[in-house]
Amino acid sequence: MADLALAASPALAGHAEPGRHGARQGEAGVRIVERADFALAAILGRRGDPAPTLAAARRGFAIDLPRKPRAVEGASGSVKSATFLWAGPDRWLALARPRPTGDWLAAFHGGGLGGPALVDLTGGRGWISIAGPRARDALARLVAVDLDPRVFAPGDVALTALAHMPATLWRPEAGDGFEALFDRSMAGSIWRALEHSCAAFGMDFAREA
Amino acid sequence: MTAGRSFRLASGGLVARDAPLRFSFDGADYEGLAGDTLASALLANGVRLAGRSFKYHRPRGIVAAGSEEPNALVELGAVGRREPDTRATTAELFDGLSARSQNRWPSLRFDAMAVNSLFAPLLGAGFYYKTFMWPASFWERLYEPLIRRAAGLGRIAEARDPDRYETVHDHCDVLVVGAGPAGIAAALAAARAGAKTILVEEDFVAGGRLVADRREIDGVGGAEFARAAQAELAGLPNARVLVRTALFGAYDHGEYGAVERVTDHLADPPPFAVRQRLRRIFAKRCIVAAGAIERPLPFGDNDRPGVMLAGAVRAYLNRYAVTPGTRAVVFADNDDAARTLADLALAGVEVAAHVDPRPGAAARLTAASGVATRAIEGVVTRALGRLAVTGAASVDAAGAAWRVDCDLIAVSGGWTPSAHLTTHLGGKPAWREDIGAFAPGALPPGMAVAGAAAGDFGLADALTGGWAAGARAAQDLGFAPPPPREPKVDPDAPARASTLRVHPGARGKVFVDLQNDVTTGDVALARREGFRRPEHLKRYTTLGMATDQGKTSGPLGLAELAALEGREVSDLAPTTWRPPFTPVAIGALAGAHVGPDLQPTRLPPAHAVAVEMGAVFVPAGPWLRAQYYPQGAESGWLEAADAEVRAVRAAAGVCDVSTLGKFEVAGADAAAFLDFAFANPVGALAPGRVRYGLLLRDDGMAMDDGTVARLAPHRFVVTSSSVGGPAAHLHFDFQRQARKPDLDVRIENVTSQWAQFSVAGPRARDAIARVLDPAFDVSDAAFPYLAAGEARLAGGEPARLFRLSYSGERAYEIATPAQWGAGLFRALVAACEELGGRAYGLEALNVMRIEKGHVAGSEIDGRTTPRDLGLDKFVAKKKDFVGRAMLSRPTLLDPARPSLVGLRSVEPDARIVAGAHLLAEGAPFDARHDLGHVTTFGHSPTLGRWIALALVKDGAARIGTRLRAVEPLRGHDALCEVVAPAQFDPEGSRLHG
Repeated sequence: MADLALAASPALAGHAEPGRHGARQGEAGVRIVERADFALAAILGRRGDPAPTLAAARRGFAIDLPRKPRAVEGASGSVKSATFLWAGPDRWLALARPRPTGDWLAAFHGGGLGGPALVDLTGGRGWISIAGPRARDALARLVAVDLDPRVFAPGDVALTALAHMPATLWRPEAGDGFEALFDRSMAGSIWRALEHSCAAFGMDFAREA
Repeated sequence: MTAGRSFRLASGGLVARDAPLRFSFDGADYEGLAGDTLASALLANGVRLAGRSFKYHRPRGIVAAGSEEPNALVELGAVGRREPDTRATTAELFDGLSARSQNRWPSLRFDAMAVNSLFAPLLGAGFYYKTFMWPASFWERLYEPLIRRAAGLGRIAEARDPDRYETVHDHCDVLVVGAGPAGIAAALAAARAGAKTILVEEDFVAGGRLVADRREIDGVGGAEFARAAQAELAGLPNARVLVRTALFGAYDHGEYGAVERVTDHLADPPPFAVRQRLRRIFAKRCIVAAGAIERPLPFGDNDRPGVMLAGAVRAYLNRYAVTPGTRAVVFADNDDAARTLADLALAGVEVAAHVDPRPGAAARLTAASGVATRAIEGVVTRALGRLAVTGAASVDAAGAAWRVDCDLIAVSGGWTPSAHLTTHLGGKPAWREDIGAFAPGALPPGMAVAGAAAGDFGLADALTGGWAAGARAAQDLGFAPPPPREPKVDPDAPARASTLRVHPGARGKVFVDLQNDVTTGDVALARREGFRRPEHLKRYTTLGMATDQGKTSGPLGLAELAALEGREVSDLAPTTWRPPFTPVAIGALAGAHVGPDLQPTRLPPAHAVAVEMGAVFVPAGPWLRAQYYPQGAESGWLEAADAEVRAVRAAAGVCDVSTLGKFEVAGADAAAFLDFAFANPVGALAPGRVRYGLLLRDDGMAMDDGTVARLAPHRFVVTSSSVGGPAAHLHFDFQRQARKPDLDVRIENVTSQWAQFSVAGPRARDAIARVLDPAFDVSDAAFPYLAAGEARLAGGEPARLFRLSYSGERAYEIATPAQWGAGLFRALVAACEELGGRAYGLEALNVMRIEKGHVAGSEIDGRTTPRDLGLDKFVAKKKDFVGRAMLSRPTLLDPARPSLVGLRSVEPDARIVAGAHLLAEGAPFDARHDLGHVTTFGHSPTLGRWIALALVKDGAARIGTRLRAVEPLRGHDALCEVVAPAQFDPEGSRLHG
């Protein structure tokens, strides 16, 4: 049946062409990479009762799920690298890249009725990383969050808006860049907002295989 | 005449003599210098006539040297860049600048509309209200166009603005507004303490009065002091100085609005540079050091070109090295006059007289300044001349009249603190007797005021006060404050403001508000007519309105009103200052959000496929959806939609319904929760089944509808309408959090996660089977009507399948995660086409739902109940649900309420249109005979008629009768037959066919 398999489209496909955008002189001030091969799920805990969800995360990924807007990186036997983002009361987003095969969040099953519920969101979001010497300046044109490194530190998460469109923004532990999830249906508008805010700095866009 | 001569001093000023710039004004070419404003460059060329006034078209000159300028408003740029009402005093000169005067015809020197002056008695306060009252039939056709043509200054650009704008969010510990001495000191103190500091200055040069006056601080000239401070701040990693940035508003929670003129001053902006940048500044502390605004003085014809604020005269002399006149009269009532006298004399301008009403003041200040001039203890009563000042008439204390030839009258009524930002959050300015002016009163949280804005007019006070404010702000935020500073400055003569009355000997018009042409006579008339409070006076006379918002006229108006009322100015409340402090271009507020990016557009996952297919799109809320897919010779929506409907009814069609709101609902109490959220019983649904779901608001009105599918005992998938998705999400979450907090229910919005397609028609099962894993049994036995389940596509991708029908045909909705949506849609289109069908869009969808009498957003309009819509059969009798209590209000049970019916045209070609009103045959077309309206319409190829749904009074009773559907705006009038909402296959036999 392999010939019937459908090609998966990344969120920015058809909107963003890889290459240089905006000002062309010198080094690009902003580098944007679309993550194309990932899995994303929402983990929904029972309201006011996080214990089963926290225990599942400890069991499966040896991590403490954050209770405030932070990102935690973890791994399990089958998943080399996963990121868990606080995404609201009793709600987390789990990300893995590259997209694992099989039920990579199996640890969260089996908690019975009080245990966490999982909802796949892989197709519903686009994921980009934003780095480069002018990344902060470009983002200051898109989000109202203070991105000063003393304020928005590695591991910090913001449930915010990119140019008034819902987005989850966080800083990974390594490097000085940012990661962002946005709604797939708004990918075209998101891309135009990115292009506009990066134009004067020059932007390199690439898509991860 | 002065034009043609240079009025530039041989030396001095902050202008680059090696950088001449060409510019034009009203078509004549001139030369200025880098560092000039348009105003200073015009004055350097002897051009003193800058514009015509608003109402009387009187010749006007340059009054000020900053953003408070009421007169010298010009038009810059052309076509899409045409910008009216630009203050010449803030427009930074660049090579090639082209400016035009406004409000004059045919020319500035001869303005035909100046004839208005002759009718001045008719144009007094409130004349619009009095003159244009009757007859009422003239309001729209005659008076409004007439007033619109006559009123206003400048012409707005009619072409699209070609420039780029952007919004930037800035965050800091301390925001300092104004880079005068106080602001500079505050910023230095805060930044040296380590606080993240932003200093904003609306001018393109930092320094404020330090660059306009000759001052000395610790042995250094004022301009040099400002330059050094700016350089120091620029060198600190925690400080920024933003010039050309006007802070225009203070908002809640420490947010401030500023607009930066990024490339307005460049002849050739770099690529991708924005023209202006809106800055939303979030600051923990704000220090307002916005300075003060000088007051004019009231006397006859005080609007003549050549009457200029004394502080502006000094700015032109010192900063721009320009003499705004050759022979000056100084008329002031405060000791600041000594500086004006000295600066004029130093620049070689002859001072013809110094007039001061205070006993002995004129002689004292004249002697102190060492300027040889005539000291007159008295007042100027009238400016002489018309297109330019030619002299000043004055009266001395003894009553003797003087007449002095001059071409410049430098006036000063003292200074008013610029307290605007302190009032934007509701603060009221407070009267300060010691300075004779209103100064900032109670301040919003986190705000402090320093320098002249706080009423500290002396330079030493401004520096120490600014420093202390900066240090205190830093200390508040946990930074170690720097030690206090006590700079040595040249001696000050603080200028207490006056409330000088108009002298009884004044002749000619005495202007209070130059921009709005409001005179003392208007103030008196308004008061006689009962407008005795400043806010009323403002509305009636327009005093304090328009681009300058009363910056120079406010104090004069208050003084005049107080005098007429026999009260003190301190007893009156000044009018409220609201944002913006200075005008802000709409483009700057819009930023990147223009044209198609005015708001985000949502696209379904298969949008690109529909584009390839040549679909025509229509907005549905934020979504762009395919309206129809024209093929071959189909020329428009009607032909395409007819063909699409026929294809569905005969074979199979596929429609992209990915835009539906979709919600995953899980948890032990998910069923109980949904039973409460929906009006119909959905909690009892068996796993593997789907049914219709109706949402009501608390008031019993229908809110939205969709479907509820139970995939597993504790997992549901709920849909809403496309446009109603966000509202449905809010609704569910509100019920979860507020009404049913004890239930275990988890809700995730998965609207964007799932691509979803409706496949409908007698061959729908065949089409679906072609894309599904062959192992999945879609036989009617295994997957009957209203079945729901999880499946796999042929390629192994996950899918969800629902046997639902909106079209009335056998139909399925198939969903797959969005990343495969484009591929699945392509496969479904191919499958349908192989079966003799095709893709169909919203138009065909709508026709088929009208044929079936299904309601949608056009009927669920917030005013209809389930009963009105014929949906009461769905409403649960036994359970509690949102909206239940209010549903039984008597008014909602009134049988005469408009209710849903179907319509079909009697003549096949008579189009029934949405919005048409329904009338009994033969009834007159008026509101009294209105029976209801058409909510939606379409052409049914199945029935060969125009069909519609409508909400009609006593709807059920009218079935079988005829009504007229009249839409007079577009001239539609169709006789139609009232039928039951479901016009096609009312038994629903085709669902299983």
